[in-house]
Amino acid sequence: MKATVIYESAGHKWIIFGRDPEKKDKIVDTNQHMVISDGEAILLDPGGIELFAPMLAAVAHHVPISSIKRLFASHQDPDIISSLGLWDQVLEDATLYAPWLWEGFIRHFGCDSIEYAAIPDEGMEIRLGSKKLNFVPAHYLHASGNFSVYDPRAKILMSGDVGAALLPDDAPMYVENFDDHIQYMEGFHQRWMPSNRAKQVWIDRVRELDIDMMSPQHGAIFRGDDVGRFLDWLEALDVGTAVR
Amino acid sequence: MARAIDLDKSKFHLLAVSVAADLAEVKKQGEAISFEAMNAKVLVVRAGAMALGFKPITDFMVELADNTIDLVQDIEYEALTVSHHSVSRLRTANAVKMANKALDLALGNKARYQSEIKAFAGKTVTSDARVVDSVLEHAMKLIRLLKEIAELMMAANAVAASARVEAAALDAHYSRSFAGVSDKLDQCSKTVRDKVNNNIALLEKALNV
Repeated sequence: MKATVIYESAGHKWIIFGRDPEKKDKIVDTNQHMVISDGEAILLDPGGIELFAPMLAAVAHHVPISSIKRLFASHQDPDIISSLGLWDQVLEDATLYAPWLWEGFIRHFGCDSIEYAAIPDEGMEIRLGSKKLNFVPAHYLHASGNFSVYDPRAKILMSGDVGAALLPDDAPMYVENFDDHIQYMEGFHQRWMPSNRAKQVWIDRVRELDIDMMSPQHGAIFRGDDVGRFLDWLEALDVGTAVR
Repeated sequence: MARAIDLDKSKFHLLAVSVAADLAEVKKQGEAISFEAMNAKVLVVRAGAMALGFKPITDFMVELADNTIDLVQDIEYEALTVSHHSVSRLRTANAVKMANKALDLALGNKARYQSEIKAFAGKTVTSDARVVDSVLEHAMKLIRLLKEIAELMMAANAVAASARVEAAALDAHYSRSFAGVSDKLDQCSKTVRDKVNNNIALLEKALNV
């Protein structure tokens, strides 16, 4: 599994794991994020059960497993958190932050030793080392209980399925040509995102944040002006198009 | 003693569920024996002194039915426990597989903190062994209980034979009635024995005992 450091400064680091060459063809490619701050680590959307082994091996390159005390699940989908039952066995004294709405569902993946910290609808802030991370509401984008993660220090927004693109296997980690990238994300957003109103509320909220990078759970990372371009593009896009 | 058990190959979790499902029929037969015992008791009262020899037989049938139903309840509990642990075992076996895969990758990539994955892999093997032990312990208990029912049904067979002898000594009307009770007892015991012996054989084959 490929690991890419996307931010590093003074004991604060963001790493993305993805583009797994061993991944089975019919499994959608996912980006797993890890934030390390002052020796403490959190895994954001740690991924599906099929990716657990390469993910664990990849993480062990960067941090002691015992330093991972927190997990975050933006929502309940299997590609996000179906590995929970295995993390539950490997992590000690760990906490999973996930939408309150999905607690009874996510626990089906196995959550005996990990504590489930239910994120309220309005979101919340946690501290990782000396830094803050904010869980920003992204309800109905696409799940009915859904959060993005904002890091005000690194100015990174982990946007979950918002900004996701279904790319070819060898695609670069960063969006290189926004207009060309649209073809990989347009259908996804139109079909997976159910509500124009929810979309607009999220865009308005995110526009108030100072963002250098927006990193989705599938596809490539938006940097600099591409973040604004994406928000403008999404604002103009009609979603929920499968309604007949 | 169980040995060389491959719970995955035997699909033991499915077997435990099928044993539990089969017990519904055994319970039904136990209730049928109980019903026949009640019929026989009424017949004994009606027949009066000439059917006195039948009294201990009906008492035994009641006891047999009660014991069968009680045993079925114990067996149901054990079968569900085996089933539950067998499903847990699917998870622990998967954890062993995943941990070993992660360890191979970490060793191959010379991951800095590979020792922690090694410790995790060891932990998954221990957990898996604990669950397998638990499956075996409850499965052996299940077999013991099933054998107890099979023995009860052998006794039922003997009782049915005695009942037939007693029935033959009565007048034609009561003889037919008591012979009917005896036949039904025989039939119930055969149905239960077939079911139970089949399940014992399947469990013993799966456990290689």
